[in-house]
Amino acid sequence: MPEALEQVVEKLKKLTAGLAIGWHRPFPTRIYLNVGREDARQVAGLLCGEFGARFATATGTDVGDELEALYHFCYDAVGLVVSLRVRTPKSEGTLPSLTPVVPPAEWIEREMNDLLGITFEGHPRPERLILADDWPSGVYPLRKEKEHDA
Amino acid sequence: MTHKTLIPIGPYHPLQEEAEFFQLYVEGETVVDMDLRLSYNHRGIEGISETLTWDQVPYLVERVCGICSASHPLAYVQAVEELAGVEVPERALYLRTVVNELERIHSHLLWFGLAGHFIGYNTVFMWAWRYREPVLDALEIVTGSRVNYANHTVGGARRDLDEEMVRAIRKCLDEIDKPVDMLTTTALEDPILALRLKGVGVLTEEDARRFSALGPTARASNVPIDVRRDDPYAAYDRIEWEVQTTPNGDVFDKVVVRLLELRESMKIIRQALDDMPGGPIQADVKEVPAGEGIGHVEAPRGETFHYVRSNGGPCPERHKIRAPTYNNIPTYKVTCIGQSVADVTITLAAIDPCYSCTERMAVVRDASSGKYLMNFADLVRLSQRKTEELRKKC
Repeated sequence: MPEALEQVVEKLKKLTAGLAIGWHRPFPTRIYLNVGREDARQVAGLLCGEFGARFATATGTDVGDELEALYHFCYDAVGLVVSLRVRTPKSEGTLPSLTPVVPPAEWIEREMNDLLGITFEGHPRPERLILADDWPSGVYPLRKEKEHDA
Repeated sequence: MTHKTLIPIGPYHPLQEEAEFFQLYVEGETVVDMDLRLSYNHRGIEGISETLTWDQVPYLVERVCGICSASHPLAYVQAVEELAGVEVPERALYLRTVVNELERIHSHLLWFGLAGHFIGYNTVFMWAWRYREPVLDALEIVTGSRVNYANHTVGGARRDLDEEMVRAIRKCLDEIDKPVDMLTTTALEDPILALRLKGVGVLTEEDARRFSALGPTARASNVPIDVRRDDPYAAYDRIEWEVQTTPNGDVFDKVVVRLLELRESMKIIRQALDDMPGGPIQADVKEVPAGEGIGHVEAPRGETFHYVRSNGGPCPERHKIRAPTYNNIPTYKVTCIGQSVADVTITLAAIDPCYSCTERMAVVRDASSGKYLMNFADLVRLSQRKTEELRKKC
């Protein structure tokens, strides 16, 4: 028998109990989980491991005083997308890299570093991916203060 | 001491002529390591999107990729519809299904032709492209354009089908029916194709999952994921069809899985045309409230993922786009290593990479002197020569 959506959501709730500091479900098959920086790697490990989700991608956003990384995981059996939200103050700009537990996150974390200036601590290869070699350092195209000149 | 040689491939892809840069490290004929560099064609579309209004963005994102110009807008409008709680009229869902499956057929035929050319099967190239034409004609009749269809809008579809258009689509499907069978039979039964492609560029099921591979790249490695079934959108859950998988993960299976999908796509379109309900094709969308939404769509190459965030204003606050090639390219790390240089070009082509979506180059260089040994034309010749030699032996 195929798994039911609600059972999967219950499983996710149990797994992340005590770790998630925010739970938001705006749509039956979309869940947004907020976690603290210190717990991000553990939760990501659980999502890809015990929970059994597939890593889709991540979205980096400048949200004013903070920088946000939102990692999207798909649980294909029931069409559920779980997004893991973790933030860092702009003044610090560091987040733990999830690549050690979620290998396909390697590129997207490098991209978020290029475009938003988030440093991912523990990333196996923190080099530029998107920006050209001669792009000036310290200029981040997706920061709100960067004016579009295209 | 073994002599390690560096083969740079690019900045134009040896097959698809887009900008990427692969560096192959070879010992003799065998690839021992590789590195790649992308982003030669980065256009900052996510940034531009934040400067456009909600209803302008579909016309921007269909330009992410000339082939997936129905998939990107659909993923985007679905994300906005989720965020704004828009109920899309039933008829529009069917219209979306028809356009997106026509896109899959033309994309798979395009790839099959190029793959044929690449290994020295120019007849396959001519045939596949010959029968891709009626599909593009159908798309033109339905949407008004061969590429960049501008057909998906937030809340519905731009253009309705009339009876004449439905007849044109049916005529196109009837015309390619036998040729698709012929191409499939040719691929499955041709002894040289099997010799040339079986066991080449294998992506194991375990690696496909480890790299989060998508679309036909994953399905050829026995990973049965397909957004159309897993998180149904448009009218896919109202239609009878099957997700296609093949077990071996080699280039041959990647060919087969796409050919099988052609059949399914034709089946889907025919049912959609038969069952299409009447009624409006556009919902009334008043405003986009603050919030966030996710839309993902099974593009011809795999899952296309869009995330939008709104602050209640006229433009997206953030719009993230992830094309399937972004996840599929890293699989080269496992599929190319251990292969002969002559097999690398077809292995690189087997995921049907789309770099402008993702972002593109390849060369062969002597590691000690830094001298270029081969360019991409040499590599294509090498690949074609290998097929020629197999032909002579058979």
